[in-house]
Amino acid sequence: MKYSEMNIAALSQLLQNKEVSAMELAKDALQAIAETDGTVGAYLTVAEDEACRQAEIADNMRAEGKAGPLTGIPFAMKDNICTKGVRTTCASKMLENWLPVYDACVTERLKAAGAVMLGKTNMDEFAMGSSSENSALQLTRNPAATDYVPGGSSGGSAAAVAANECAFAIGSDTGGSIRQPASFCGVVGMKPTYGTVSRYGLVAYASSFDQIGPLTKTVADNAKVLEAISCHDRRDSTSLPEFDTNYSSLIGKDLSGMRIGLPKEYFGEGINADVAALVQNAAKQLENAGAKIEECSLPAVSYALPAYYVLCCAEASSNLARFDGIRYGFRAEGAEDLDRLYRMTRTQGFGREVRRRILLGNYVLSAGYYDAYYKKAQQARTLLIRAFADLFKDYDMLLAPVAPTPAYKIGEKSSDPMEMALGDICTVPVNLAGLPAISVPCGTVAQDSANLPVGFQLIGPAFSEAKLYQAAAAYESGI
Amino acid sequence: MQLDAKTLDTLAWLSRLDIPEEETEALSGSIAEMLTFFQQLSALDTEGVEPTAHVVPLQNVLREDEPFAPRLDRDLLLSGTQSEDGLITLPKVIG
Repeated sequence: MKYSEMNIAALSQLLQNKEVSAMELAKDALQAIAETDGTVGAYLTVAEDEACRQAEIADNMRAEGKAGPLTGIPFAMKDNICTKGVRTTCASKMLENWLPVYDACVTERLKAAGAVMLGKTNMDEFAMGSSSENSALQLTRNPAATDYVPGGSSGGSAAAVAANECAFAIGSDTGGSIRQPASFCGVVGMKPTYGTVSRYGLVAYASSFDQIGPLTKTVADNAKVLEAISCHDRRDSTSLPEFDTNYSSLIGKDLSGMRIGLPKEYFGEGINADVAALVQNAAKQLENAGAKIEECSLPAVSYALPAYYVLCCAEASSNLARFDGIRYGFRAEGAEDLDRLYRMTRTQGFGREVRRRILLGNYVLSAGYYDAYYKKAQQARTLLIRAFADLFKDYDMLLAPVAPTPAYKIGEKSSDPMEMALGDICTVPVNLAGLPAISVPCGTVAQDSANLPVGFQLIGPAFSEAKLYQAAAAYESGI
Repeated sequence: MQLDAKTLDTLAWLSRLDIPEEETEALSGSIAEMLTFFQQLSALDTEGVEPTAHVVPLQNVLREDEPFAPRLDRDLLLSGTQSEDGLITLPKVIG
């Protein structure tokens, strides 16, 4: 097996046995990118010099006896997470050449762990989209079938892992942006409990939803990466003060006594029959592994999607006000006064979907509409949180599809933002409630001549990551 | 359903965006479509329900009032902007 095809645990073992060095792994991974990324398009920036520098540090750490599970492991970072001296574009013309002067908390943590960053991955512009087609800079293709989208917004990160162009990747999930591309590309993706991974240095889209998390080849790898990046950080005012980060602790333990609910609303109208069958089959396997599976009901999901879109557009319109042509990145030429500078810069610098969401956000926040849309959506959010809490009195976790369909063809939905938004129906409830959820591959659907990956998600109450990993790993070990 | 031109103009102004002529029709149609979709929420009984702004109970982050070296140095201030002699350049603001 090639190094680039190996998971973190296997690579870590080789490094520990001194069968390979971090520098050799970095060079091998850069070679894999050079060979594959022309077709896949996962990376916006390949940071060759930076990778070699970090690999040297990793080898030194090992020589000094300071190596941990991620020391020397090559990874990719979503391009909305700040990396000092390596451009961070958010896949937007607005930040196409922007060089951060500081590292995000997650970047600092991974550097401290000795992980080796290979580069920055493509995404929907400012994370707004579900197919990565809204990138202003590049098209990313699904490695499983290159006519198909990789999902989004962390499409580059998922594609990089699936195409063996890195051992793991970091993404961010605002309404499903880790889990859905993980499902489309056939990798494992975790959206952690809100507040457990610092957002310091993550370019904000919708702050009350955005959460950073790992995309990996295996469940155990995912837990290891989350253990490395999760912490309290005083620079993020929503970072939680105290919680257990031993996410691997239950992996390998049997599932007897675990209660898993299948909310019937996730299997109804609009859900592709093949996808539903694969998820039901996963439920059976979890049952065989000792879990108790039961159908349940979560009617509140029916208003999750409108509530989510009201709130995320509102937050985006506020967060993106900072891009004014003065403080960051792109500035339009030829503006005769300040107001024209703002308007020309923002019109030319933002893509169509970003401008649409800003306009919608300003609509729902305007006087006269605030109560009818924004406040109403916030109240719907409260009701959804309560509905989840009620279910978690009876169940340890819920099992559901990640997306209503497998990946679709490039261009198939890109001209219809409403249709694209409807694809987020299964993922957004989790973000509204701040819950953790993991996407796990559970088979493929044959379409045309392609075999398209499909994932299921396990949704748990806040801080239930260790249990989610336990169930996901039990499923994974049985397939 | 289409958004009327005056509303779209107001939104564009609030957003500090121009609406390119060729995008007007598609954009106002798509915004109106989303607003119709949002109206599903009106059927929901939210009488007496507290709104949730954030799932995490937010608290002020306080620290001792002691001097420290600020991280916001000139590099940060001037990153990616147009500058001259260490100052950010702007078009004329006062006529």
